[in-house]
This record gives sequence, structure tokens and C-alpha cells, in this order.
Amino acid sequence: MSVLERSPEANFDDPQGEVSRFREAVRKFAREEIAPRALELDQQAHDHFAWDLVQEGHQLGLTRAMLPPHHGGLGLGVVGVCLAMEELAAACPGVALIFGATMLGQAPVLLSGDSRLQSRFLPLFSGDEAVLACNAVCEEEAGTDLVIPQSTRHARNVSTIHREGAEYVLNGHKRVITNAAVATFASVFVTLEGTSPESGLTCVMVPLDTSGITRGPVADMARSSVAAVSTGIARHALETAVEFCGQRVQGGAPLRAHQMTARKLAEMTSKVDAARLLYLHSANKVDNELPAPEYEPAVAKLFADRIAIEVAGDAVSLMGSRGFIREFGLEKVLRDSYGARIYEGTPEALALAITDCLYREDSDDDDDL
Amino acid sequence: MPVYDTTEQAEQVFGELFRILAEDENFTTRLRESGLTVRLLHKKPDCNIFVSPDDVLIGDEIPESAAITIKMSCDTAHALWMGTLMMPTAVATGKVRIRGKVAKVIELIPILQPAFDRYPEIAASATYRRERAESSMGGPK
Repeated sequence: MSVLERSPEANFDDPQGEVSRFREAVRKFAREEIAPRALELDQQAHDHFAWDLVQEGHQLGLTRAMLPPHHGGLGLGVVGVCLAMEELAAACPGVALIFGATMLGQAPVLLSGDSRLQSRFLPLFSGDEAVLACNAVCEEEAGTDLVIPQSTRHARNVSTIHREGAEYVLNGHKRVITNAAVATFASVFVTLEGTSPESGLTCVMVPLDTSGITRGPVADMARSSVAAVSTGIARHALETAVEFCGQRVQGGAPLRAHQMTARKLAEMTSKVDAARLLYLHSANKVDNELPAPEYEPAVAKLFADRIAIEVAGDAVSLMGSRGFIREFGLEKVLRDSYGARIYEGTPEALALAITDCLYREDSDDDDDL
Repeated sequence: MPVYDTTEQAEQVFGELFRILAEDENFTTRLRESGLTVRLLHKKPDCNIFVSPDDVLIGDEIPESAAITIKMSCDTAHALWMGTLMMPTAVATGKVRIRGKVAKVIELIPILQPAFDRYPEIAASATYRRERAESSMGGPK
């Protein structure tokens, strides 16, 4: 077993070995079923959706990994989800995002603590057929303004909800929502009519077969879990480069024996390991703290997004023309590395969140309770 | 003005609440099945409670650790149990801080329902007793 195959169990609590077993099963699925089709999926028609892979992932538990056992889930927590995301993203980040977006859609239902909502929506994920969800925040005019607390007062034309008799009426237009075209329900973030976004958004669970909803086509685009996705993208680039540099002979020796190449490979693997440690640390905090921490997930994502681009770029450089030709797969990895930097917080949005934490008083102060 | 002025008042009400909960077989069975123990660290005034499937402990001698630790002010606890403050709102605004597996917290919240049902009556009864005692002594102390 090479160092790249090692399991990171030492970095989290997994007494029953459930998380490690799940990670191994997802790794096998990613390598045997997803990776061989990643390039084909990338080049297929814009509105193609790989339901067969989703169904296989569903059977593995990827649509209910985060849900508690009493709702038919695997109860693996954010650490388990992140490790699975890394494995999926190392094969194809687009497929990882299908499952990641579903978990994001489930999270508000779980965290609501409302047993009626949970009983209505969570059992959908333990049936025979795969069901997906989505999380709808982004809007045409209000994008990052909705996720940076200092900017929410500037958010314009945000979707609204108001009550009419026994019903609620929701008006608005969300955009670039991963899974929106294929999800059964959406967790939609809106403002309560008569209030400003600054006072906090309201989350509404919306069955997507409700009358009045129009969905756009499948989009090409789908924080701890996205950091794991970026780590997976970087790992894919690293593994591809390691294999190539071990076989390719130049100047009478494999590329890996040349100092310049060795230095690059060593830096790349250090970056992937560091990104993984940061996202595991962050996921472990998210699994054990409420309110969820802001600092650690933002730091993990900022770092992982940056190194994914660097590692993918280095891999392209090491492989020369093979790194650039689409059929070898690295061109897609480089493109994916830029995509992961955008969703769930751009570096600029993350920097504001991180810096805000640096200047904020200790939130553990009992006087604030 | 705080709902409870002294640790004794808070311990009396929250202690009674959890003793009643501990007599609920469904509650203790679910705690045991889920391996749950809970430390409730109330502030302003201080009031510490430890709940396990076998026991409810109150005061400074409670264990140092539990599967879940919940920290909040007595006023926040009062608003939560009265149903005037929603738990997700309390958590999102930092009025309640929880340490422990979030998955366990999600299991805990539904089994606390009897506490929501009983608290208004317990709190009202304690307030009545306190006001009677104060009036018999010539006003609030």
C-alpha cells in the first residue's frame, strides 16, 4: 500500500469502523463505476443526467449518509460525508456534487428539530428508488450578498414568502442550484415579506412538484464538504502525475528520479495531505459543535480550493502535452479545480469570514449567552 | 429582570423538570438506547444539571463530561421550555451552545417533548410559591 492509499482514521473518532468501511465502499464505487465514465459524462449533452450512477450511489447509502438511523440513515456525520466526497471527487466532482447537494438540502430539515418536517421529508431517502434534494440560496442579483453577514443588507430582489390564509406564497427566482432540475424537494432560503434579509433568512421546504414552480435545465455546475471535493480533485491530479512520472523515462531515468520532478511531486502530496487534515479537523468540529463553527470550514475550503488549482496545474506541467489533451483527463481536472473555488464561497467571501473571526471576541464567553 | 434570581430557584424548577422527565420510561429507555448523557450548564444564575438514564444530578458535583453539553442562560432555558423561543433560532443566534455529536443532539431533541409539555406548569407553580413566600415575608428579597 502506497502512502496515497493510507486511511486517515487516526484523525477522527470511528470506534466501530463504520466511517472507514463506508469510505472504502465509496472508493471502490468511485474507481470502478464513476472514474471510467468521467470523461464521457463531461462530454455528454448539457441536460444529460447519470441516474444509473445516482441509483448505485443511493444503494451504497450516499443519499442518506448524514441522516440519523431512526430516519433510515447511516448516521455517519460530517467527517464520514467529507471522506466520501473526497473519494467521489477524485473520480468526478460533478457526481460528488449530486450527492453533496442532496445532503445540503437535507440539512435544514434535520437541524429544524421539527419532527413533522423530518417525518415528511427524510423517509424519502430510504426507499428503493434514489431521491435527490437541493439547497437553493443563490439568486440573479443576490449571490454572495446572501452568505456574507456584513453584506446581507445590500442583497437586492431576494425571493420572499408571505402567508395567505392557511398557505404560504413564495415568490422569486433562484439560479445555479445544483440538482434543481432533478430534485424532489428544495430547501429554499427567502426573506419573510416585510422584513429585510439582514434580519435573517427563512428556510422553506418546497416539494418541487408544487404548482407554480418552473425549473431550468440541468446545470453544469452543481464548506467542509467542498474542501473535501477540492482535496479529491487535487488527489486525482496527484495520482495521475505519480503514475505518469513513475513510468515516463527521460534522460535515462524515470521522471520521478529527476530532482525538479521529485520536488514538485513532494510539494503536491504535502498539499493534498494538509488539505485533508484541515477538512477533517473542520468536519470534526462541525460534527461536535452547535452553532456550527465558521472559522475552520472557511479555512479548510480556502486552502483546499487554492491547492487544488496548484496541484492540478503542476500535474499538467509534469505531463506535458498529455496534461493538456482532453482524452488524458487532466484538462477536466484543471477545469474542475476552478469550479470548486466558486461554489459555497469564493476565496474573497471566505477571506471576509475568516478575517471577521480573527477580529471577533471569543464567542465562548458566557456573558454573551 | 431575570426569570430566576438565585441558583436555588433555578435548581428547584429545572431540577423538578428533569426529575419528572427521568420518571418517563420512554425518555430513559431512549437515553439508554442512544447512549445519551446530558450536562446542562445554565448561567445567570448558575445551575448545573446532569441527566443520565439512571440519575438526575444537580449542583456543582455533576460529572465533568457527558455525551452532550448544553450551555445557555436560565432566561434562554425558560424561553425554550415555554415554547416562546425555537431551538434552531436559539442555536443560530448563539444563545444556546452545544458540544457533543450533533447526530446525538438530533436524537435528543424529540425525546425532550414531555419537558415542553410540563415546564409551563412547573414554572408557574414555582413562581406562585415564591410570590406567596415573599408576600408573607413582607415583599421580595
